[in-house]
Amino acid sequence: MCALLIRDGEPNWWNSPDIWAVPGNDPNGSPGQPTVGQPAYVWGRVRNEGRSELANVQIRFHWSNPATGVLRSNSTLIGSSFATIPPGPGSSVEVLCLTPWQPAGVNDGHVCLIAEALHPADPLPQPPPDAFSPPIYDQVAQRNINLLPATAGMMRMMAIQIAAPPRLGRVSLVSIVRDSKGLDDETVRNLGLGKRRFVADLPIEAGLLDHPEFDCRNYQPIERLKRETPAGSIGAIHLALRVEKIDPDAYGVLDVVERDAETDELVGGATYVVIAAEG
Amino acid sequence: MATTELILANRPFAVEYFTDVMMPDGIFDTALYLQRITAFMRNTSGRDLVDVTIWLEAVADPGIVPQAFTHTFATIRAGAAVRVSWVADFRNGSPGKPLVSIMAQEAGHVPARSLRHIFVSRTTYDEPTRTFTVEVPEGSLKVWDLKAYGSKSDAWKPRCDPDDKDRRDDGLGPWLPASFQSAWTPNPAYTGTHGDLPFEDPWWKVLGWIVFAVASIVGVILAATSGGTAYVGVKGKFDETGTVDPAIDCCEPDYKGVAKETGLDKGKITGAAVASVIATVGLAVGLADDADPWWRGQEATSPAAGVLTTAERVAVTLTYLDPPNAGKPYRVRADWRYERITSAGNSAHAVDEVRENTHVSDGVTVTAKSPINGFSEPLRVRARFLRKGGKPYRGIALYAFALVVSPDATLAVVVPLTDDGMAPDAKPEDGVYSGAIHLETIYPVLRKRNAPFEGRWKVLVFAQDVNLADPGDPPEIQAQTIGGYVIASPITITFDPTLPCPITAQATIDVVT
Repeated sequence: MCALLIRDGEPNWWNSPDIWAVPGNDPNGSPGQPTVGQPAYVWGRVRNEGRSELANVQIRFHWSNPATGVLRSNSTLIGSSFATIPPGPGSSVEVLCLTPWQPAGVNDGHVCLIAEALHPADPLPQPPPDAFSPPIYDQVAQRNINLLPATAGMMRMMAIQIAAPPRLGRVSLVSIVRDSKGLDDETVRNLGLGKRRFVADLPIEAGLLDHPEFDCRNYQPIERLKRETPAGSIGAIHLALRVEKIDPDAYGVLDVVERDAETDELVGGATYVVIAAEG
Repeated sequence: MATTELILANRPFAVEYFTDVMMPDGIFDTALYLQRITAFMRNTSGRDLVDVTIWLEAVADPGIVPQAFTHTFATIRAGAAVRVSWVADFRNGSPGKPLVSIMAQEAGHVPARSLRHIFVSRTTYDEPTRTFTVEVPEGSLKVWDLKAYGSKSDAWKPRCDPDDKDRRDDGLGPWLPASFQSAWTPNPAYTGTHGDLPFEDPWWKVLGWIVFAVASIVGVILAATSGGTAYVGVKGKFDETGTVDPAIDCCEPDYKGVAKETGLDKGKITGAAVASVIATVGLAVGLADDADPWWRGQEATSPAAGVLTTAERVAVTLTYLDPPNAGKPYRVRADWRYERITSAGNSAHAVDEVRENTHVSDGVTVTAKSPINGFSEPLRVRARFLRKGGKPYRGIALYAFALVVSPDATLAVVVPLTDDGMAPDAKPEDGVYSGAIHLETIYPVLRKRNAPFEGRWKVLVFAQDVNLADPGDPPEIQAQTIGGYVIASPITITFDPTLPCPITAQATIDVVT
């Protein structure tokens, strides 16, 4: 029986509540959004749903550029830790990745975090597949949810990585989905959102672009884009976003979702939580 | 659920993997690839903890690779501190103070996390210039012209295989530091009187001690592993001083064979390494605990405001007025010269003084039940180490172990000694350090060699003091507490070649079947 579990997010599996970052020099600080060039620590929560204690579980933490489908071949290992986890539902251990991590300058430090728990009693396939595939493997999870501070009236541009595994090209349909339910309490806490309230109809104008250059005066946001990615290559699409008005105590949520154009299979996604920029 | 009340009680210290000796002040050095991250975990709950697991969660430096291992304890008595350790490979570590995270969980409780810094230095050796360099975050110390008094006895030379063309002819030591030259380059250059202490804690002299200790222990490891470089990162050595006066002598432990199971002669290796630590600590004694030559030299050569200190040279000559034996108040004459190199010129300060070892003890008492039936009862060792004045060392104050040597001296086994209330120790923190071994577990090894199981086994007890400085104290106060000194050992260093063999077992046990 598969024992190790790092929970996937609900309804979007890429928003795992069991992975979070603590910005700053103190690993015991409050969760929040990492800052470019500043250290941050990554945490994971691992459960043992089996009947026996699992000793010396190795938990590996990776980061990747924001991407809708995250691969091992384009992710970077941050560090690894060990944990001994007693059995039983509800039994979990919070694991700290003690190697400090400094988000790079790309995308204002918005990254995707992945955690995987490894143990001989609950192994991953060897060699492991290139795609992390959290929905398939209980012991793998992804956190691809980022705060996006926005100033009313100003356009923001975010690059989102689209990758194809080696030897397998991909035609993707990428679309914007507006979230109507808001985030669960655990995710709100992990993002450091404080007392902000969810606003479903936040006036956000959002569209997808093949290239970051566009004519502001003639811009028409497109919420759905088709992209062909050759095998083993990485490309990017761009999310252009403008908020007409946003209160300091409000947040809105946008998902950027990638599906396989031929099979309609959900490849992955990225979630952006729009908040008012400070100042 | 309540949180487990078991916390890390000390700065985790380095124990070398092959020799089991603690490194100077517990500092890890990347020249010795395998070291044990060793720590004491104290039960602060006020009650006995039941069904406890302790594991090393992570080391912040990804270049340091620990082996995963979980310690399990059925019970940890109230107030007790248990000793735990994990082997880690330090060869790719970086100099610094990485955090380590140790987790402890009592069944039915939330795990507790203890975070503490360890100190990691990097020692390298440049063959053309015969210079050692010790790197720490605050700067680097180059040490050259190392001269040491070596043993004039052949007894400490390793066994040689005549067919092995690459064998080393160097002895196992012990090496008594005689003199060296050094240059400290602060990173960055600093203004004012005092520069930053290494790791913001120990005196610079500890780095010099590390060089001598690493060079000595490397020799032991290379001899033990037939000169292979799989385990060490430097192969530098000493120049044996031409003026062998006093000449030191040290009896070889009476071991003839090699432990075929491991390829190592545990007794000789550990004994040689302990002797090396005892000897090299003479440097630390000579250069004083309260303030070392660098600090005192800085005080005496305070530069004008705004002047940058770019380097500091210290040259040291040591003369041993008494044999430098563990736990004894032996005297060392230290003749040193400090020179400050600055952007406005150089200034110097010199001292010639006699210092006495302050890490002294009133000896050790070892008890062991004898005779015992080797197949039906364990061999138990109990040791009591007394501070100067008679008060016993307790609990985490010491890192202690025993070497239990077979009747024909072909096999020696390391038995940890702890004062933690874990069987066979009767009570935690009572000043009695206990350990036990079930001899029937090594009976197959002896039988394979046709070596006797019954007979008189010897017990040799060693102890080093642990640095328990408060990390909240100012660095120059913390620096005055230095750990790793050997305060008890059966090895005696003598300058008198007419004395009989000074290795004396502190206890013997007759094993019958």
